[in-house]
Order: sequence, then C-alpha cells, then structure tokens
Amino acid sequence: MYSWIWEKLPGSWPIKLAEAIVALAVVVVVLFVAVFPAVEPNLPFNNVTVDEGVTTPDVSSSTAPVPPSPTSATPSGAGSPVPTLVEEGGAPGSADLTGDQGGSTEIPVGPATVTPAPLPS
Amino acid sequence: MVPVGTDPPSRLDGSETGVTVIIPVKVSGPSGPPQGDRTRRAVGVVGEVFITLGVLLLLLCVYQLWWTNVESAKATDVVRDEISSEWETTPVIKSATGGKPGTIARPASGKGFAFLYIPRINDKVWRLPVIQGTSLSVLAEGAGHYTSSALPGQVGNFAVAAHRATHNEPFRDIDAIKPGDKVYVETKAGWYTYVLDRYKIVKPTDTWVINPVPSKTKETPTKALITLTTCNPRWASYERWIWWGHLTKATAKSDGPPDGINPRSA
Repeated sequence: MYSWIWEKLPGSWPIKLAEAIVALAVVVVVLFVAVFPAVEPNLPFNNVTVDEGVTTPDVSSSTAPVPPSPTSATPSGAGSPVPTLVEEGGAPGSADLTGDQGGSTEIPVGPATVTPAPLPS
Repeated sequence: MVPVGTDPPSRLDGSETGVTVIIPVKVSGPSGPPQGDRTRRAVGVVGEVFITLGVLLLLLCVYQLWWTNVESAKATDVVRDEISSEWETTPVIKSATGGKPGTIARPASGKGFAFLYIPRINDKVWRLPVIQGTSLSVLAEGAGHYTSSALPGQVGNFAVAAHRATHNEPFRDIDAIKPGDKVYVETKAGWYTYVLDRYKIVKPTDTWVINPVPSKTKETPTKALITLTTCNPRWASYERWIWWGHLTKATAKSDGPPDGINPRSA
C-alpha cells in the first residue's frame, strides 16, 4: 500500500519525501478538522448532561407526568459514598438558607420565569 | 530462509553531494509473481492496514486529550471577552430596590450570560463562562446552562453542566469539592453566593436532578438552588455526578464582588 503510493509519487526521492510529508499533513488536518469532530459525539466520555433517552420532559410544568425514571431501582449511593440527605419534600439545606448571610442582604424573591423548553437531546 | 524474489539494488549517484542511495527496485514483471511473493505482499498489506488503524487511534487520542483542550481554551477566552465587553458597553441592570440585584433577561441560546467561580477548583472554574444551552458546541466553550432551569438567584434550580474530561475539562476536579464549598455566580445584575450541600451519582436519564425542586415529585420551588452536572466516571460517563447547593447571598453588581473574591485572579 505505502510502497505503491511511494512509487506513484512523481519526482526524485527528496521531492517524493516532501510530497509524502505534505500528504501526511493534509490527512492529519482533515482528521482533526472534519473526521474527529464528527466522530466525537459517539465517544463515551463526552456526555455530561442528564437527558439521555428521555423524550423532552417539561420540567417547569407541574401537570406533566413524571418521566419514567429508572432511579427507583437504583440502590442509593451505589458505587460511591454518597451522603444521603432528604430527597423528597424539602430542598437540600433549606434550613440554613440564610445561614451565611450575616443579615446584610436578602434573597431576591422573584418568580422563576421558567419557560417550558425541551431538554437537550 | 531462502530469499524469494530478492530485488537487486539499483544505484543512484547523489552527484555533487557524493551521497550514494540504494533503492530496492521491483523486478517481478506483469507475468505474475510466484505464489510465495503474492502471499507475502497480501500479509504486508494487512499489516499496513493494522498499523494505519493504530496510528489513527493514537491520533484520535491526541485530538481528544490535547487538541480539544487547546481549541476549547481559545473558545472560552473568546466567550469570556464577549461577555465582559457586553457588560461594559451596556448599562448595569439595577433593581428598583437598592442592594438587591435586578433581573437579567433570559439569554438567547448559545449566548454567554454569567461567570462561574468555584474557589476549591479555581484553576479550572474561575470566570468560567456560563452559556445558554447544553449542546456539545456550547459545552466546548464553557459551562452550559440547562435552558429550562432557573437563572442565577431565581427561586428554582439554576442547573449547569460542564465537561469533566476533554474540551478544557472545567469540572475535572468535581470530586475534590466538599460539602460547604462555595460557588459564586456573576451576572450583569449581581453576585450570587451558593453553598454546595451534597452530591449524588445518578443515571444519565435522571432528569429530576435539575427539577426546580430536585426530586422525582413535581413540587413548587420556594428556594433558590444550584445544580452542577458532569460525567462519571471521568473517562466513561455512563453515570452523572451531581452537586446540589443553595443560595445564601445575593448582592447588586454595584456592591462589588463578594469578600475575598478577585474576579481577575483566583
């Protein structure tokens, strides 16, 4: 394969060498600019969001049905020392919401204008 | 071993330089090489294909481990400058009542609108741009804001995702964070201090973690929370690492950054 390419390159050997280096550089550039970025979404270590396999749950609507979630089957803290806190019926750390405030400022209480938008997929 | 079809070397004179080059020249003509030669050539081609695949995989590693970081670092700087210059050239958002930050408009998709500061992992997360949306192209430029989640300081859940490996890996050291660590968020309107409370490793499908109240039941939020999501394990990402925290302080931009925070240096 490569000896065949070498034979097909025109010119004397220093010219062939230069041609081979240029050809190699072109291949690498095409890989880095076009091929690898296209392959990347399929690689297994670029997924950082919670969305896989879920069909656009409406997180802002209280009437939407809860999307099927396999979490209930997950043993809590599987594979890691997870500090288990209250999960249902209370925000984490809600008791000391104003604990760090020093009484100087207030939490702005404005309605969260959460617009219904699909999760990225 | 009997050399089959050994090629006689040909001589080329490097004339002036006096270099003598010996190049093997194939002599087996179109009449067809002997059987052994053909097999040898087939094995050689297969070997070359394997070597080529190996080199391709090595190049892919170089791309992932090095080049994506180079490109993302550049892209992050560009977005950072865009946000800074936009904040400098348009008037500061003020609230009706002094002391509290005003409300920023919901940013357009792909637009940077905030900076993230986490002192514990400040070599990666310091003035890290937060960009609206969580597509791969957004995550290559900084942290991505889950479009439907709350904005900084709002009641609800301000949910952010970022890479833990490749693409500048902002959340590389997510496992170094400890409960009680602070996260500062800077917007055009103000500074927000969150305290991280707990983490959990969940499945990628557990979208409840970014709910306004992070639970499986749909509850009406009463608190302003923050959620950080990234991949786990770092190089496999078949799980998600989730940090939750709550807002403790919000100040107007005119009051300057929180104590001990110098936005320009960690």
